[in-house]
Amino acid sequence: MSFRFLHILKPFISLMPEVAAPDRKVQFREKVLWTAVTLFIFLVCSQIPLYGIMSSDSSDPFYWLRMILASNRGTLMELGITPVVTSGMIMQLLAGAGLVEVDYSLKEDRALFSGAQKLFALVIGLGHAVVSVWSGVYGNPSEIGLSITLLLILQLVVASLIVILLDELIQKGYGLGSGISLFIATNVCENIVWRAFSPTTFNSGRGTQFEGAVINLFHLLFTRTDKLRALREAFYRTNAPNIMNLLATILIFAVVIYLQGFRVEIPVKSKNLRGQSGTYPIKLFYTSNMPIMLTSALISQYFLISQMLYNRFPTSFLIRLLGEWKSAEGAPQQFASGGIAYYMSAPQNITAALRDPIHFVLYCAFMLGACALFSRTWIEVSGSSPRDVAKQLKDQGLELQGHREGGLYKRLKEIIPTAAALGGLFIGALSVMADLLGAIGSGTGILLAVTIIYQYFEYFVKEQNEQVGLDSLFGI
Amino acid sequence: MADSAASTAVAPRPNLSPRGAPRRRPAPAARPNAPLLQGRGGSSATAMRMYYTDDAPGIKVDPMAVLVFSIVFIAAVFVLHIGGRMFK
Repeated sequence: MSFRFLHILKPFISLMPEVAAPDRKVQFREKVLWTAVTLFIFLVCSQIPLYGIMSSDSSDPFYWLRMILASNRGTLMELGITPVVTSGMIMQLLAGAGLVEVDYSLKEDRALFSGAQKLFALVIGLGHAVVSVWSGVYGNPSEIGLSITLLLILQLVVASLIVILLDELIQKGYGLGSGISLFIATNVCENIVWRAFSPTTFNSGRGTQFEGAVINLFHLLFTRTDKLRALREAFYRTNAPNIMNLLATILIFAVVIYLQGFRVEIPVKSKNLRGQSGTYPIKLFYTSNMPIMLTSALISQYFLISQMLYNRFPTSFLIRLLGEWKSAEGAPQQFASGGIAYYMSAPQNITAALRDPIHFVLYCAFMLGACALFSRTWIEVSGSSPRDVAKQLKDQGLELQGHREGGLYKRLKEIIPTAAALGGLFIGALSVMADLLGAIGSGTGILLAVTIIYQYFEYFVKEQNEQVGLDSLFGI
Repeated sequence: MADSAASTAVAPRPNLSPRGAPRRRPAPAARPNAPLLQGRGGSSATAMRMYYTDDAPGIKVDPMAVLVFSIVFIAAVFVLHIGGRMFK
């Protein structure tokens, strides 16, 4: 019966556009070019405002999700990678739970599953678009008028389609890595660069100031007579990104890159090729950025629901227990001010943490615990548990040096879960630290960006090595 | 990359070298290990990434067509914006 589900969708799936796989090996330079072009399209799309928006100054319920979904409010990338991510996750869950039966060894099944994911992504995009337009995120639909409403939905759906196609294009070997991680990293980096160098000015009451931290530093240094005061203002102003935020961001970047190098190396030798030996490294960040991604996805979903409930029933005791929401003065964005949600949200800065140490301690405990737990669970889900790795290595004819068979699994079982839990803990701690220091773009965002950039760096090195290997193969 | 049997994505430099033999020895025997090079240790995208195959029954489009389509779309939104301003 479940087999039939994919087959029912077949006529629709065959209507989905699909990027043709490259018919030859794409050169590294060409890959870089495709990746750059894709990024460019993404960046342009995340700057162009949607046509037909009346207002977007209500509290943004997706505020905490924007970072991991690479979306920009009010622009063509309003949905960002939401459809792709949601569809990928749900379909894999369904397949994993056996609700949709997929036999990956069958070519037809694989094809249908891939098509169904894409179809589902588009449907999610459409649903999301309809709901947001309908619920008045861009202004009251009856004021906007039917034609503009339809235009808004159309823009959002086409943008989702473009994201799907760009992701496919990159993953199919035209570009480097995967589209979604690329988009997330770009979004965060763009944010950081903008906050550092933004040329927008605003009036602070004591003369105009620049929004960008670095530009503001120079501007103040040149225009103010009291240089010390100017420096102090550039470093510690609270109404816009300051130099301390920027330094904190750089610090977190450096620490993460430094920690990426931590690894345990297991000596292995080949069974088939006599004398071949080497090491199998297990990184401290074994699960990479996955724990923080899962944790923040969970938190933001919780915030979304709690905020919605609170705005609807602000008096109910149970809902107040889940979370109370208040908007800061001058901005419509709501922040948790009480209930469980408050203890799940990061303190604004160090002083806020010291003022309410219980909040801080609970927040830390929650973040660290959740990250470690997710990290431990993730290795089972993603097929990188000791058993899976041992099997993979065995299939390649590798075994632990100086041990008989079975020794490898035992060794892996000692190291991998510890590495995963510890890695998750470190990632959580780093995220808390980044938030406390006020690093630009939230702790989660920075960690995602750094780990993704590091993956790309490794990818580059690997690609380079491959090139060298091929060259030596052909005797060049 | 032929001698990278045990190194994974986490090891940028393959450090598997045959003892007493020249370091680079392109042995085809090590080739099947290539799959291990990807996705080790659950990188960010493994769970959320979509699954693409080369033989999905969809309408095949050239990557260039995707680019052109995106650019046309962006241009169309631009035109809408400009048009909206002009006729108001």
